[in-house]
Amino acid sequence: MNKFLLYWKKFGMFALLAVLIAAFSLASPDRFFSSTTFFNILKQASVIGVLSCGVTLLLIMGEIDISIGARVAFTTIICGKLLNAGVPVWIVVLVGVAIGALTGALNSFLAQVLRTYVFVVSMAAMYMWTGVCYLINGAVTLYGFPQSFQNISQSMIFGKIPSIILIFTVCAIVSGFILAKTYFGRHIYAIGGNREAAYLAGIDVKKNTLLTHMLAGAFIGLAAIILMSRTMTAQSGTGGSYAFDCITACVLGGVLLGGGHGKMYQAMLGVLVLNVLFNGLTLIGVNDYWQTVIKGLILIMAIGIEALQRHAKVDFSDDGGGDIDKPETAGELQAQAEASA
Amino acid sequence: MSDNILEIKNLTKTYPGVVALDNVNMNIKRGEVHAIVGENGAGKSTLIKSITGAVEPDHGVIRFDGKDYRHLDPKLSAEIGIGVIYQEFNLVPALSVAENIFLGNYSGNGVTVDFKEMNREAAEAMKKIGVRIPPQKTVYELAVGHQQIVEIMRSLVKDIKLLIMDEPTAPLTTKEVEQLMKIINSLREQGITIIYISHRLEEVFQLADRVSVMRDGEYITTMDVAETNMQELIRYMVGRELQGQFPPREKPVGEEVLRVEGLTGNGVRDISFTLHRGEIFGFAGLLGCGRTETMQLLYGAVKKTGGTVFLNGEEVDIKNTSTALQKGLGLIPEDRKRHGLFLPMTIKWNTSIGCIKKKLLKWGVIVDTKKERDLALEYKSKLKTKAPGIEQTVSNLSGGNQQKVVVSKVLATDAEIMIFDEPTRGIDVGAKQEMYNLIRKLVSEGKSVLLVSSEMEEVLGLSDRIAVLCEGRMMGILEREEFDQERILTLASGFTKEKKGA
Repeated sequence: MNKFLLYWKKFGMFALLAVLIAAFSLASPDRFFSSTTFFNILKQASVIGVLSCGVTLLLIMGEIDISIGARVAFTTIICGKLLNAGVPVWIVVLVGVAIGALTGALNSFLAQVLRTYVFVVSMAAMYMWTGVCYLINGAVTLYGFPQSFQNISQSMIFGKIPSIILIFTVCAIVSGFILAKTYFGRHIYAIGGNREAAYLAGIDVKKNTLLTHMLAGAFIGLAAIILMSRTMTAQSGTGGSYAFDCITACVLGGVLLGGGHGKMYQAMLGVLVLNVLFNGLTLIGVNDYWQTVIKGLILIMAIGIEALQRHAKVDFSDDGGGDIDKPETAGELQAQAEASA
Repeated sequence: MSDNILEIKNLTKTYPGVVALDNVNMNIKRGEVHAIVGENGAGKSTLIKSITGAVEPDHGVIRFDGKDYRHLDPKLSAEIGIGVIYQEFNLVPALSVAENIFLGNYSGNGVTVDFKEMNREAAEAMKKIGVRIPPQKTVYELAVGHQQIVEIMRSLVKDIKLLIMDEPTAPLTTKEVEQLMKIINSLREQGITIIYISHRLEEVFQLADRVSVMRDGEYITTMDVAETNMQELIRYMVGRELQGQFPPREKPVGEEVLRVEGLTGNGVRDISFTLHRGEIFGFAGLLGCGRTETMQLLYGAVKKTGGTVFLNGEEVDIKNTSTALQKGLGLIPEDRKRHGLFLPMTIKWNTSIGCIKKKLLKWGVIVDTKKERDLALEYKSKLKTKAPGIEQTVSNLSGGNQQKVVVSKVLATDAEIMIFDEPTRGIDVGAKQEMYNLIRKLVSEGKSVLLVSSEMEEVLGLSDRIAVLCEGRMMGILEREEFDQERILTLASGFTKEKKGA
């Protein structure tokens, strides 16, 4: 079992992706494995993909933010209003990214001030931003954005590559680079891996947490922009299940809930696998309701495998012994609590 | 030998690298209050856990009430009449006093609980030992002392014959201690045998009929309390001579690097001392006396509420750990797995995490992996960390080598003042010696060290001066000429000359 988990961790997602592509190609040989389908899948994956860049940063830092969908909606409504008011496209893009970053900062700030989890704060933020969207724009769909805005996602770069795919790729590379190569990335792993140890190692945990939420937020803002540019509409009801779609993809890819583990490429693989799967299911004619059921099953599977890995990890790492003084330490803590009370 | 309720025969328990119990033999008489004393790590806790079945001894027999047991487990030990009060309570805070007392066997008809009857029974049981806590009251509303009584009641309603109390007075206030003493006396009158573990020797003399001493996992002796005195007891507890682990060292005459005046907060009050370059300044005291807390304040891990800190003659405000790091302080925390290490990460990763931002960057943001590797290799060889390579995950290392990684991490930040909090806890003898040599080497290279240790010989052998703390206050600072284990233990138990007279 442990061996299986080890291999799964290393190659599982690649294998799954290959198997899915092969299976769907066989099931529908004429339609599935073409470059058009390939690009279509990547295009469809782009929004969730860019969002997942941010979500992965947060998951590795040990935090879950479920307000993502609502913040995407809020960003699209504001940006849509601005576009319709004739504000230049590049400013709107910057505003979109800034809204993402600031709403992220707000979540983190509130969680720190209230000394609670971002998860809880983000739940409140989810309701709040959704409500604000409807207050601003009701249930009306905004449309009629300038052509140049559409070009952001729907033009071809070098005549061949859709720009949306390029944006997605750049985001994945940049976020992956930050995570793997910069000291900031190290600090994210450190905070997710062992918050207390990170603090005692001299890392400014509060500041880094806030910055990570802002960075993740920037990806969320950008995702909202490309979503708008792709559909050329903005709606208050957008993005309902985005948070969970992203978490599902990341966890499926091998980013552990709880923090400290995972790599950007794993999350991206998770995004691709899910997209290939649902594209394929649609192509072979599985209905939408069944697809939703399957999504749920996949999340359970992903979490199950993750849990197995985590438990296996505990078993591997427990070197036993050396801790005979534990109860006395606990007593000491208690005495300390007593002394300060 | 039916007047012995408990006989422990040849009990041995080893953990990897540590002999926690070494062929222990001990008899507990029926109806007595039997105190067990010893320094930290003497094996008291392991002994208790063997009796209650929480750990399984390697060898030996436990004879309880005339019957031999080789393998006890917590359920069995409860069934045969052994109750235990650990330092941490196992109460359900949201339930009432009575519900907690009868947890798991409520009175009633099997479907509904007869709360009236249960409350009545609880009140009656408490009356027997002379306490009155309203049985309807929710446990989290109670003071610690009363919570402890609920815990005791829980054992009592199960008709126990032997009650083991592990440091019961540690969390209590003076008044609560008095009440506990009364309760213990009333239990003795009811014929319940009590094993009483405590660091506070005065309590032993107030309360116990006999006292047993343990040291380094060995049983040393048992005495009638009436026939011994504090000095003799401490001598038995301390026992050994220093065994050449600590060769003499020149007393350093470096300039003052750290001055602390009136440091207050986090449960300690008014701590003042100075530290000189090349000096090892030890902190001794009983568990919970505020040593670790003092270090946390100094390192900025917990905010101080008063006092000033001077580094190299300049007043500094250490608001958080990153400031501490910038100012050249480094902490090797007490709980290495929880506070010192990132267990799933590699040696390299752990070594560099504290100093990445400071000195392992190229172009301002990117981690220079070559520099990082060199740094990790440098400290691995300097500290002689035993591992196949720097890509080894630290969770797979032994305690001693893990500790070396923690020290590497702190050294890599170029800390000038290093705080070692229990640097040898849970590591084996050989690794301990290495750690001692390492600390001595560091100070000879010009670092300065604050050393917190519960192992008396460690503090005595390494330190140039020793501060003794008791209940969050500084009891005194001893120069090396004044070093004396008995004197430290006396100070640490809160006895000052003035107090003794009063």
